[in-house]
Amino acid sequence: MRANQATLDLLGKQWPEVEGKQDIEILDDLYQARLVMANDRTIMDTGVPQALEEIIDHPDKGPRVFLSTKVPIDNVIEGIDGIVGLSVDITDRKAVNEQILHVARRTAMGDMAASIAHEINQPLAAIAMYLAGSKALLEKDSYPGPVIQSLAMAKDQCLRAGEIIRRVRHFVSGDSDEKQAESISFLINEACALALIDPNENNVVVTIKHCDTDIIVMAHRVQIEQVVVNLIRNATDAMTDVSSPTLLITSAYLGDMTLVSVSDNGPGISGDIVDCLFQPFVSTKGAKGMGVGLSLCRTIIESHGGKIWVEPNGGQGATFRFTLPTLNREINV
Amino acid sequence: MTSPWVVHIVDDDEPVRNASTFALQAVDYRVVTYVDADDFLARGREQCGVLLSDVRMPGMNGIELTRLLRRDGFSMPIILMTGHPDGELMEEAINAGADLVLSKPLELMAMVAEITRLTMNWT
Repeated sequence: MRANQATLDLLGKQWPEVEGKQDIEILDDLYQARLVMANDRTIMDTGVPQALEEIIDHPDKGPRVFLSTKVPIDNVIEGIDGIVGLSVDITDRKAVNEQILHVARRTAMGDMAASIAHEINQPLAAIAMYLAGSKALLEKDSYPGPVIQSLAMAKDQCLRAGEIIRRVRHFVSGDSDEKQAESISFLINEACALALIDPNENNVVVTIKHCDTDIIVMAHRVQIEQVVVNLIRNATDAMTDVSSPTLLITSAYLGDMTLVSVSDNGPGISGDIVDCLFQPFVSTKGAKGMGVGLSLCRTIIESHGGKIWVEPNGGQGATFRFTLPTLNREINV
Repeated sequence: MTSPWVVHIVDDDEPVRNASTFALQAVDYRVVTYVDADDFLARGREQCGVLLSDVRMPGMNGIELTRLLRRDGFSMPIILMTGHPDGELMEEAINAGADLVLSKPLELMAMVAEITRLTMNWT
């Protein structure tokens, strides 16, 4: 192995430790070393250059994320016998991205505060009535059976309120969850529960359609929920002046990729804005929108290896679609 | 002694309907419930009673229901409930013909007092 000073700095090693050795002898973490060597081997075997993210521990700084571009060295006579790698430490950049996504989630919940408050008020209203009625019955010294039942109902309503709060808190939490296997229908249903927290806001008729068999994707759960929440909120905002607003949310299996679609019957997207819709600071909401929602959606989806785009509906309105790499498809038992 | 007045509750939230029924029956009112404005218009309009309706519902909201009923000559007391009371909403509700707007969560005995007050002038 040969390395420049910058590499030695990034790895936190001195040249004598590194000269002539393989990754597995240099890197402190054997698992990380094996991954790096496996990536290198694949590139040398296929002869195809690649850019990939690799995690390598620094002795003092802890795990660092590198964006490594690796190119096979073909010395023509003997074929491919090595690799040139260029690595950039993107750990801090990724951390800032996480923060931006987190702030966007908090802002979205802030925008929805009135609806969230309204929905939490519903179980509170039921609890108030159950308890007041219980008190009145007990004061009359009547048979306690109905009181016992109503206290159980009041408790259920407490849990209902708790569910709403749990959903909001999970969404807003700063925990950068790991990418893991997630059911796409579960993600979408969670996102819908949040985005449509007040079922009577704007009176939208919502239809959700999933595949019969569960599709599993590899995803950051909260980030994909964030995308779906954003698309749904955009759709409901677009349909404010529509007399019979309808929203259709579907997931579909396309083999390697999974397709999620959100369709509304609002005014649609005008031709001149379609091309720059996913750029930052482009907003159709006038003073109301900051315009970062869709560009963050694109960042999230593309970092997952998918694509996001918009199509006009046949009749009226717009359909936003995004894809995610499929991990697996469960067979319904 | 059970009041001769029937309280008609219009609210799309089932737990709220059930809880309000339980509470009003505990203080000796008869209660009939409806899932939305259309349901009340179909079944409840002719009946004698106090209308207690949520504002925010699918389809026709509580204020629109009030306006329609008053235009048709419905003269029974109408109390609207809202989780989001603001000046504009209150004004719109009163202009539509509601007697009262209460904010959720409701206080049972305060509601009973208002129902008594509103029905006092009726025979």
